[in-house]
Amino acid sequence: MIIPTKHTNFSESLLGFGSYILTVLESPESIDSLWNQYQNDFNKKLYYAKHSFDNLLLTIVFLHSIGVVKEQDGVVIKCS
Amino acid sequence: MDVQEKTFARQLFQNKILKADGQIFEDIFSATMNYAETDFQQIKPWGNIGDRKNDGYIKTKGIFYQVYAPEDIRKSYTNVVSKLKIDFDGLKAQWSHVNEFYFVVNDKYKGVNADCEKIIQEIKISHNLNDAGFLTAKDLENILFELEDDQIYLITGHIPDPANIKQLDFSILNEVIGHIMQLPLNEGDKPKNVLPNWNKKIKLNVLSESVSQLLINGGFQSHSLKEYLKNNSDFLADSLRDKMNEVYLQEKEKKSGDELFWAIVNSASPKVEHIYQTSVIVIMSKYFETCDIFEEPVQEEVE
Repeated sequence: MIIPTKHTNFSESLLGFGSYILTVLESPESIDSLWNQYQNDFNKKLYYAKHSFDNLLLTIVFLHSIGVVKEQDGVVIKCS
Repeated sequence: MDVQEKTFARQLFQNKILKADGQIFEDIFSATMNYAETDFQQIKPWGNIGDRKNDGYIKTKGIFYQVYAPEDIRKSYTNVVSKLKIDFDGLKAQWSHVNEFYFVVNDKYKGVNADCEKIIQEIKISHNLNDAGFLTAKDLENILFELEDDQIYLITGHIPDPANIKQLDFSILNEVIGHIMQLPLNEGDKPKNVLPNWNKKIKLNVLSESVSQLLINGGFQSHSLKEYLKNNSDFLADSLRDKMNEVYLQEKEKKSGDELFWAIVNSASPKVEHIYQTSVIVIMSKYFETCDIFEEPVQEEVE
């Protein structure tokens, strides 16, 4: 789930999705705006793997657990 | 009909009523009344004379029915009131011995408003009728469920035979099998796949030509399975692999070759029936190719 496997490629894994989230997180964003951004990119085929909203939340939890994002005033911020 | 069958039949009927506007509702009403009242006579509109404001009647009792089925009765109350007056006046002018009058309305189980009820009671009193009123969806349902079982089924439609319903199992495996079972076989399936050369693996696992052919046939549909797994964000491919591998390891203890192949097919199938088995073989084909089931030939290192 977190890391790629034989049947889950990098973009389908939470690690791959996390790398995408960090790329689009140039400024503090709410969960909703991150989700909208992902859906737009997915529809434009800029991101190839399909992820659910649950996966987005799991990915942010994962990123938070490794100390690369934090929450402040209801938005997600990339740690410097 | 037991309680469960009756409950299901009621839901089928209610579903029909909710979708029935205009002529469809009138047909349901006429079919029900034809069974409920032997003397009921449906009146079909005829050319430019129409139905003379009478959609059906029981001549021997002088009971007349007029049917009205708007798409949304709540938007049509003014129409109901005016139609009620016009239709009854038209009926009275053209038919004799009117003892009772019923305005059959598809209220879609929402009820009729007080103004309509008031109007019909005024009609009853002013025309000295024995009775008058509304017949709504619930009344029609009550009339229907007084009938014999076979007559009820003819109107509601038959209840599906539980034996023909796919097993309701929420396991990963059955979710995918359910999906594959619905896939059409397309002429274009063959070119979409580059079939792997798994002759070595077939030989190593002592599988017969017929089993090999079944796996190849399964492979023709594997692109649809891959597409389905790709569009699923719940890591289904891994869960499915774990399940198939678990079945394989379990059966491998006691069996080998074709016997092992069929043991996996039957163990993974919700029922030992062709439709389920062919779906399982599609899944097996995928995981056979990726070496998650059956032994893998050792690759010789190229120096």
